[in-house]
Amino acid sequence: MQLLPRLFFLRAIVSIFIFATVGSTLSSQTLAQQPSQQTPIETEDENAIQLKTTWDKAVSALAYKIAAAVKPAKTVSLEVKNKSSLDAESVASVRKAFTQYLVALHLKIEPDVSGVRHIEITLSESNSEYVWVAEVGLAESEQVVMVSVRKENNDVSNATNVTLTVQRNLLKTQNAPFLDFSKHDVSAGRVSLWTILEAGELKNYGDVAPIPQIHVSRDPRGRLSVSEAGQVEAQVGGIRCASTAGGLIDCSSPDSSQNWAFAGGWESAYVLGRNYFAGLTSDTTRLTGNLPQFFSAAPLVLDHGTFWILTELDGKARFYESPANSAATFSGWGDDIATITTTCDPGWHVLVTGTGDWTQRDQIQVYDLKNHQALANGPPLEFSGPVLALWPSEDGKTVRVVSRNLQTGKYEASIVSVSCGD
Amino acid sequence: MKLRLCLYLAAISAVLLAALPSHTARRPRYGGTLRVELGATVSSLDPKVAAANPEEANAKAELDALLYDHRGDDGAFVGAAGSGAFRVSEWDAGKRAVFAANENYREGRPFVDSVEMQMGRSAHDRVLDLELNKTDFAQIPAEQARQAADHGVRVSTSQPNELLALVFLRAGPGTETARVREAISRSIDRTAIVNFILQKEGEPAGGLLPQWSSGTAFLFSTQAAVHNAKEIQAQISTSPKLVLGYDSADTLEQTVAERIVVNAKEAGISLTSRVIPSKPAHGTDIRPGDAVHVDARLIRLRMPSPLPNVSLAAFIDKLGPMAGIVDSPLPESASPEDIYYCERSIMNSGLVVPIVWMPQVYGISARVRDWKQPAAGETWPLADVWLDSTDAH
Repeated sequence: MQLLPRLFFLRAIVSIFIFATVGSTLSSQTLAQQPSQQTPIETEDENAIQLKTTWDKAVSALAYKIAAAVKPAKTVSLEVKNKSSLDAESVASVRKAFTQYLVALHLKIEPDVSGVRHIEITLSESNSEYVWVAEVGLAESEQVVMVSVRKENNDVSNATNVTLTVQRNLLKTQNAPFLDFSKHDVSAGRVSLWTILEAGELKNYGDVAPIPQIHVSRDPRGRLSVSEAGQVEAQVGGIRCASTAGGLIDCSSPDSSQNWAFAGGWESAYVLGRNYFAGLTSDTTRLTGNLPQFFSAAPLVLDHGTFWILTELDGKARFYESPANSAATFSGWGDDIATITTTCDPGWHVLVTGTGDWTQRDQIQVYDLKNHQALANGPPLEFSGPVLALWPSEDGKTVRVVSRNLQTGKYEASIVSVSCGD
Repeated sequence: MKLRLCLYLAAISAVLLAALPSHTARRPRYGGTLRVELGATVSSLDPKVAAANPEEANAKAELDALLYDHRGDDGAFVGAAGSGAFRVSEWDAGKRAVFAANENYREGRPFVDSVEMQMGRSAHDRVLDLELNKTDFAQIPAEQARQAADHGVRVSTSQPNELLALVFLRAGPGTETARVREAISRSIDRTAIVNFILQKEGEPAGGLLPQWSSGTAFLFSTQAAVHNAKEIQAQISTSPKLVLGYDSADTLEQTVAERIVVNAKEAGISLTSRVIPSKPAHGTDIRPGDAVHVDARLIRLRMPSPLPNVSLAAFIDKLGPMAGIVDSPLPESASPEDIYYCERSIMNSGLVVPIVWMPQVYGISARVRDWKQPAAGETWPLADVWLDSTDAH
């Protein structure tokens, strides 16, 4: 092991030398020979641009290392193996890039015959990185050089604007969990102002307001409302936060639990330290009295009053026309629901999440409510992880969805809407 | 006519109900008692009382993780017992414990009301209790995972993160001993150990880090080369008689040791296996000159982190005193290339012979929801699981 620092030092010197001597030549030659490789793809997906750039840099760096390792040989044979999750198209692109970089470094690539230095590049990976390894030379005098490329989330863009009866528009991803969000476009949509509600803080256009943490839940629930004028109102558990006249966010005292407001003048207390509500109450509508504890509530606002579908703690959803008895019970639904209206169908539709738990994929299914029956309408919209929050918009035409992508581990903000037909 | 219609509707309803998912929940539910069985017997929760063996030390670390809020920089749990997600409500040393949910836990109350632990349950009993739905959670030896799954147990398997390796304790400086070590390493049929002893739960190990962590494990050969081993053995003038030790309390180590002895004999190497007392959890491992004479021993190395540099540094710390491996610490910024060359230099010394990578395997009852396999170095996330009453027995 005493040799190790010396080896690193030696490799560093060789690399610097090669960079200094051929670097400038390579950059001009490479740009001339493969303009498509160097020109960033014009796309709104920043991840995709970064992915291409990081890969290109890695290929370039490894090519330099290989060039240093094979010296003084001028002719090599090249083999690229894939031991990673990269698809065939990506492997082909990487292989082509390696070939071009090595040629630019004045190496002649020929078939594998005796006397030619053989380069075996393995596209390997760990959980977090792609590791591209080059084994240079014969077994006894083999030298190993490698580079690593951090994996990026480049599959998110595929999830946007899925053409289904239920459509999803993925707006944002982030590493930290959040409870709700609001996106406000200004300057004709060129600039987006985000308000993000997390369990411990409210981020409003860059300002951060801490939310008192007293009755903490392992499954915190929170809802956000931002008016056109930019007035913010947020509820997390029993705490309510709102914009003050001075533009700051002020949160209620954690000592007094604030009720959540629901459609039609209904409200409910939140059970502190838990993930469900104590029960809807109203004194002003026909459906008076207390409804049972629930996870989420979907209103049906009709001329003669507001009626509710509640997802309850026993795993069933129930439709209430009066507090005493439920008019219908629905099984096989997840715990998050929301009602939604469409322009083409005057009826009420309920968006319902899937069953299972947070280690599994999820879905949102539209149900039509007719005569106390819920009928699935169209195929479900699939999510690659659990839907964590489902809140209706003010106009009732879309819902805000917070979900977790189990493949990337990131939390996603989406707007889900329902269109008629395919 | 009406009767026919009713029957028809009933048949349709039955089909629809059968097609419904068995679980009717998504958000976690609160309540219930999670039943856990441990193989180890934990004699005390007092941090000052040392564990008698590694199994107890591992179990104690899991219990500490339930009781203490967090770990300090040195990895030890800090703060008062009960500051964590659970508090001790009943304690019968070495036999049974009940932990109640801490209503005021900083990160929120656990979903289950309590965790009831039975200690000292044999692997056979744990698997049987899982089959009979008498427990909700128990660790299963990797070699029994397939059989447990065949018997209907819901099995959760981690990425392979525990290395079973052979470590030479009496490494002489001469070329001869280095050749003997190389011959033994080449004689071992790792694939057969994985396939037959581990019942395909694991993978052959050629290096000190698994492929999923380093991305370079494929550069270390795991192929048995008996012919090469024989050639090397034939070049050795005075072939020594070597003794391979294994932990008296570890049946897997015993089986693997016996298999290695058979492999070595096929290559003409004189190697015998011998049981050695179970290792103390904290303290020095067996070294040359100890009462029980062994030249090499089997050792289990569990990765403390998914990060390759952290795990490799920890392995070097552990192996160093045993095998005389000296290495400079790996910096946090170590590149995959740095890590590979560090690993390669240790492999080239021949003092450590990786055998197999094994996963952590857990048996979980059907009613346990939101179970997420802990990553290397993490403890059981029992505060995050909840019990689905619709799956209760």
